Amino acid sequence: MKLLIIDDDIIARNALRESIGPVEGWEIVEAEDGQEALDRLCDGLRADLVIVDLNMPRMGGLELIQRLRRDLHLRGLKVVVSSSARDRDTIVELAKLKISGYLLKPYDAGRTQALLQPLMPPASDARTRIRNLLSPT
Amino acid sequence: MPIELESRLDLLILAQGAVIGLWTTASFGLARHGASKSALWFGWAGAAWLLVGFSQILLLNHILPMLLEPLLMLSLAISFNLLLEGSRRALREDRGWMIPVTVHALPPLFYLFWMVYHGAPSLAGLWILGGGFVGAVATVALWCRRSQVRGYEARLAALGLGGYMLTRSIGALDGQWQAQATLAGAGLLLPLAIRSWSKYQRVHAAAFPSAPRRPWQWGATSPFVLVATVVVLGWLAAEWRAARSEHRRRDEIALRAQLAAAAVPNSLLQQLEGTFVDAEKPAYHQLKKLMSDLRAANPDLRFVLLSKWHEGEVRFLVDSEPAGSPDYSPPGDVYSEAPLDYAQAMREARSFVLGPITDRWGTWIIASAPIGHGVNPAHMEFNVAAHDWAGQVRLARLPSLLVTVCVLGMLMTTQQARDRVRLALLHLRTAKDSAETANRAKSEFLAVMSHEIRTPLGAVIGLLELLRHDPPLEERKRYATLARGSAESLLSILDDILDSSKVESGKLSLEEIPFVVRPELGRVLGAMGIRAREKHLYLHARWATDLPRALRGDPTRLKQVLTNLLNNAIKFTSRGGITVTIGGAPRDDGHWELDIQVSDTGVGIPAEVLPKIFGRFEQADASTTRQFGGTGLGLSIVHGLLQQMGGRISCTSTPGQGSTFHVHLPLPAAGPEEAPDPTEEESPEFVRSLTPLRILCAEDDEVHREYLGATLRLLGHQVAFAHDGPHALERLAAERFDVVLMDQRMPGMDGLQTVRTLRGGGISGADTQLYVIGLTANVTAQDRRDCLAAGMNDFLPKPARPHELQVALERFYRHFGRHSPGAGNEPTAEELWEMSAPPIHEAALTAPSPELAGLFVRETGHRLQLLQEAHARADLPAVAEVAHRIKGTCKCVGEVELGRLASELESLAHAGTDGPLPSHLARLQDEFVRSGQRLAALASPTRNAPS
Repeated sequence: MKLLIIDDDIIARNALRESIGPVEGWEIVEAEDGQEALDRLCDGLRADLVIVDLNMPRMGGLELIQRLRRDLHLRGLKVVVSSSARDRDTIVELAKLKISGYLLKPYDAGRTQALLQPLMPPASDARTRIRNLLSPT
Repeated sequence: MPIELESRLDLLILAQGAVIGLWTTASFGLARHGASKSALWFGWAGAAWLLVGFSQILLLNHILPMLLEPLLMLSLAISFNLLLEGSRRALREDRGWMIPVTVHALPPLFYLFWMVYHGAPSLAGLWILGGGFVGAVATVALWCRRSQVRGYEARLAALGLGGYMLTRSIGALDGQWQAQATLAGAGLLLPLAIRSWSKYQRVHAAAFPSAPRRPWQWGATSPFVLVATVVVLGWLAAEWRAARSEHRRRDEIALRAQLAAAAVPNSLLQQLEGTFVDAEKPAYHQLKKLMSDLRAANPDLRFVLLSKWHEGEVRFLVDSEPAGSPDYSPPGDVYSEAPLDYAQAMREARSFVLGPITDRWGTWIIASAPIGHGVNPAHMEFNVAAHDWAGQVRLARLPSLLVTVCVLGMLMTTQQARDRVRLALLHLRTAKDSAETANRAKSEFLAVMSHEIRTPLGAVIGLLELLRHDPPLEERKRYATLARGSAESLLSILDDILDSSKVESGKLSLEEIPFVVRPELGRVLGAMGIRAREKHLYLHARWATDLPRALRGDPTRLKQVLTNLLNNAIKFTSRGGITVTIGGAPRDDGHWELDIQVSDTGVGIPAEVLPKIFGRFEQADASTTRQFGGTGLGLSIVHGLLQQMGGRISCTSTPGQGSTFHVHLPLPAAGPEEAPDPTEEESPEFVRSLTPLRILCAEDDEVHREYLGATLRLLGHQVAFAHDGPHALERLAAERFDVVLMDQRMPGMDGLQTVRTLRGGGISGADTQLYVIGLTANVTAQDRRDCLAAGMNDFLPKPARPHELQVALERFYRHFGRHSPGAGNEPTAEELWEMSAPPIHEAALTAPSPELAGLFVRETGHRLQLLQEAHARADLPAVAEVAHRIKGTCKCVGEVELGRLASELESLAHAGTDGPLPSHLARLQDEFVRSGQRLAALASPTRNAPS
């Protein structure tokens, strides 16, 4: 499972990592702005979830999401927005873009995990099942 | 005889120069025709030698020695290096031996050593060291010349050149052999001159296939005959002038001797006895003084003396030498070396001029006149050194010699100039011919083309006319099908013309994308297989087993190449069939040399037409067009496409049995992950039952609108229309659509701009993420990029066939349907608003980990520094920006106070009030120190607590 964190601030990225905590089977990838993220996604990075900040140099979060939604192959990506502010118009716009959640900074580990857990595909399920089959019962 | 040769050194140099001149001219000629890269250097070496020879002739006559001597040495040294360069290039050209360019340092080093060793520069050193070394290299180079014809000529020329260098070295070492060496040199260089000239003539004849066949009109030997004639004539003229001048000088010196004889007092002469006792007599001393005075007054005389015929031998009476001189002869001394004619003339007491005569003192021209009569007859004798005498004679030869040199030079340069003019004329004629041919071909092409276009167009018009008369239903359908077929062929003709002009103007842009070889080319084979079966032909494909799965390149253009070749093959084959072989071989640089071979059993191509088939507007002949149709552009497009892709095509054919086209195209190999297998969405079969869509069709052309509307409705969709960009945006704002078909070119606001406006969110009520398919007439890679960059999701070429439209809508379904975000359980705006509410208790945040705290302290410290710097620069926007960044992260580690201070600083900087800034900065700094301590304290217990 791959999670792409997009934020231009290194502290914010690390804080988010920390609030997600170590989850088995999750891999966290980082990008510094929307353009870099888009480039990497177009180059074949297969992310399952994208967490994106709104204010970034080069390409902001809103534009990135718009471009993802327009792309035939990337438009299905699940997107969570993280921002330190909230504003009604932006949220209405984001809802139109069908984002999956909104994380307000500073990150609260409990809220973050509660939001992300249901979004990530239950990959570990299959693995657990196989493990159960193998173990003597 | 040797003395004769030596006195004619200037003429010998002239002869040698003539040979070198021939070689030089031939070399320059070869260079001009581009026959060999070394020829130019040999030509310049020859020219340097000519300069050497010319300086030598002038120096022989003591003209400008201060200038010419260094010039001679210099040009000789340069000539060696030029010859060396020529040999170096010849060896590289013929044998591939790479001699480093540093070899040019060797000859100068040799001279330097010689100079240091001998203490002075010398011609001998130049010749022996430089000439020896370079001569050896040049001999090897000429010996190794790869000559297809007359190899012995090259060998002989090589030996001649080597021999020449050797003899000239010997001549330079010992001045006594110089004349012989020069003569031998001229002979030795002759094979080289002959060989170069004959090679030049061959090249020249090849360059000018039309008459005149030779650089000089008559005979292969003409230059040699002409040059030899000029040299001989010049020689004769020089000899004649020299003989005349010598004759005059002999007369003059004889006269001078007679005058001097008349001036000698007879009384003094009578007192001499002709023995050694004379030395005591005053008369002897008086006469001796007279002789000395005469000698002093005539500087061209070496000796002035009185002699006498006495008892069958010649005795000296008085000479002009002082007593101490080594050349002094005492009175009565016998002149034992006197030759016969000299003695004879003395006995007969007559005046004479003889010489050159060699005696114990040297070689002389002797003028003698009798003095006194009767009792004691004597002779007055003038001796001129033969060397000076020869010098004077040579000087008399010089004008004729120079004239000869001028004539030779003019001959050579005229020849060069004529050659150059002829070459230019040839180029002009070729250019004119090809321009005329192209023009003719273009007119023919236009004629063919208008016919080609008229035929289907006439059919379409005629069939439409028939349809207007409302025929029965069956007929109607048939007419429509026929008209459609004609229109399709019209479109393909126009595509061909467009492609051809793009290829010609180089405006074709090629893609380089990974593609899977077999399915892509297989699709062409499948489609063409149907056409072949219609004509009852077979179409076999052989695939090499080692063909890579994927390559990088332009699959569309590659398919076009194969389609065109197969089209041709099917068109010109009536029985049998076509075999396609697709294979190739890997190259070292990671490229795959793709190899496609298309063989048919068709009519074949006559050999004389074969070289022309890839040209534009060329068909085997006009009747081909009549019989088989077509524009004749297919192969020229194929050729142009391949050329642009870095490949090539060739063709072999036997008329009546068939032709084989061979395509070579190096393409970089693509990794397996790069090129995905073509998915079924691109395959021809598609699902028919689509959910009806609401489609907005923005198109300015009414006919097209009508057509698109009918087609889309036929496919089961609802269609609305907009006639331009603003109208489309208006409708999008008012209604809900699933897909927009957008023409790229519309008056006013074009498609791209309309999409940009839509995506930009400037139209309230319109869905900014609507699926937009562009319609464009030009499907270049650039157009495609433009469409996608403007925000279109897909695009179609115009006119879009029903099938293509359906496939495009299918794409919309597959991707948009499957990948649409979520399954409708995305939070609404209200839910998002709730979700983003700040927590009620800020303190509920968990403490940061030591790593995060450390990172925070490090980063924030760095940012504070940036803040100070920005403040020092009074750069308020930068202060605001950095403060904003600090503020944003403070909350992440729970440093609320620090965040508040940073926020205040940001608003101060924004407001532009820098008065309270310094104090604020200081507070921020203090708070940061406290934060650091707090975070450190926080970190240690949390780290220890869990254990």
